[in-house]
Amino acid sequence: MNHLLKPSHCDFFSHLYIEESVKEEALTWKIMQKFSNSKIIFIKHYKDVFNRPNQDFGVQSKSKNLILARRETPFLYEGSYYSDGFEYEHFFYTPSILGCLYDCEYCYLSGMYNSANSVFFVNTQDFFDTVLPYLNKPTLIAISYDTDTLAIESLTSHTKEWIAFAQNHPNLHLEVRTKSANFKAIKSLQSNDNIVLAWTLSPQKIIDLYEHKTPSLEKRLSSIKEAIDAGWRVRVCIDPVIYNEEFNELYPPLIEKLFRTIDAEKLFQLTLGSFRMSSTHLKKIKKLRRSDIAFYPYEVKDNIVSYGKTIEQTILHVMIQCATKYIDKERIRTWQLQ
Amino acid sequence: MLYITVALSAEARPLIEHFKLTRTYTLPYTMFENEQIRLIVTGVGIENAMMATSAFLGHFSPSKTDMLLNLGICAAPKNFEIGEAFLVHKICYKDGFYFPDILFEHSLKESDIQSVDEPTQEMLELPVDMESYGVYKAASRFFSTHQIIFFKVVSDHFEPLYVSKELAISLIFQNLKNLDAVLHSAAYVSNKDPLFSQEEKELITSISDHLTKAQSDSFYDACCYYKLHHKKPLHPQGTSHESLIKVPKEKLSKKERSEYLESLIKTLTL
Repeated sequence: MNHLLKPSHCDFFSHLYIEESVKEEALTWKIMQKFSNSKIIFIKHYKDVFNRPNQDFGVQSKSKNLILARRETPFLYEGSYYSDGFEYEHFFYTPSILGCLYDCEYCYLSGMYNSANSVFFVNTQDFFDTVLPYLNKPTLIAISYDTDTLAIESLTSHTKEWIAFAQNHPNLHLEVRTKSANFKAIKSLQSNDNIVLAWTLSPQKIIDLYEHKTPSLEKRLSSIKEAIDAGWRVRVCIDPVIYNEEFNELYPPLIEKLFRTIDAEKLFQLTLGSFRMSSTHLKKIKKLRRSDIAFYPYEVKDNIVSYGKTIEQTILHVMIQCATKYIDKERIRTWQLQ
Repeated sequence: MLYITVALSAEARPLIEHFKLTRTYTLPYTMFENEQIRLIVTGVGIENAMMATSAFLGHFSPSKTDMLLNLGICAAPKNFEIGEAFLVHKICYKDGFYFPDILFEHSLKESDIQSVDEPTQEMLELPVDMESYGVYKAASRFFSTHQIIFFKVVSDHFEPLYVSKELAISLIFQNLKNLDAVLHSAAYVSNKDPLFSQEEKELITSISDHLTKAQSDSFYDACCYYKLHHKKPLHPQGTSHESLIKVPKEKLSKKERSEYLESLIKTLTL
């Protein structure tokens, strides 16, 4: 009696799109086995699916699908102006996974891609080969830039592979940024001072409102604690701060909670920054019509939207004042419109 | 509104009865409709399907929550049973491909389909029809990828000569319950409540009439912010913002317009 089924969105990864060129890869087989109930659709090129016109990012976000593909050049991109390069001469990010399992309303990905699906490039070795020539100097690679690699780790083992690669290359520094509570996925690995695990935190109310499908604040904090206890360098990023009339009730208590949970002395760094985005991406996000964040009357300067100097300075002043009760200012990084 | 394309009158007949559609003469095609559904008989073949779908959708301009259904019989290999209904997630034609998104749960099989130019008696590996590619190509200009649904019923195992009009009618009749279930689920996924009520839209328009295009855009964004952030109605009656977002009684000067916009944005976004 099919007509009696309660209508619902498909589960995540109900459909796996697989490029013909990777269908024999071991990783492809492993993922196909994990999703043995998914429909398999073979494709010529990931862009035939991922870049289709007229996809509905909002609807797809409720039933994201996975595309397995082979990456062609470029394997590295220069780090973005919108993020901290930590003064490294070589600062890159890898586009080895496109799209994120999580669905954060303020994320630039929904303004950047036509699709809410994720593309995973299974030819990881090609990324490693491209990095090698740069390793005569300290090089920072952000491996979770267009995705959250730890969130999808059980499927891809991607973070583990990069960490293993970094163990043999002392000039390679990695940033693994995440909102997951999935430290357990890499718990068995030896910590490495060249690798920073960077957790993004938000007050629980902001998580509930805007960071759909992400773990709770409590779970993230407990993952952070575990990582620090295991000897890893952890950066906590309260970035982006979403400013609204409850800012003072939400963000200073978040900092208090953070330092009640972890030993401030053991925290590698704290990053603070308010919401900002390219105005081109924001324009696309507005079309989705589902988040108040997209419609705030931002200031626009040099194609960047932000809360403007006055609000940004208020945000940083309040948060730095609160944070410096626990950690020295030298370990606090900030992003502010220049 | 649900837009339906079928190639043959025989495929239309069960739908006309089931949905109680009546004949309409808006376009030079065989067409039927009721208050929620419009159906067009496109004729056979990719080109006919593409031309009729373009004319159909171009004429009626579907809204963002509407859907398009292409329904029809097709040939399929023997791993499909005669009379079996399935949904299409990939359409192939020569070197081209389309990928309709199926984002709702359903209990039918899903498959690729091969669109061809002529009926074939050669046993192929995929189900085969003569319209899907043309329908998708035209419809993708009007609909999102998840709003174009291909519902196919297997009529034969590459024996087109055995497919009669009566068989086509009967096979589709047998699958009407499956079709209802699919449409119900697809509508659930496609449905989007509009952000503004009719009353709010009228208020926005009345205020925008006093503003420049750029100012109207900023005002509209502020209205969206207010609705999404506060989740409260925007219309004046019964809100504390009654006096601030009321429509000006007279034409505003350039300076007054700027001040008026500033006060609107402040009210709606603070």
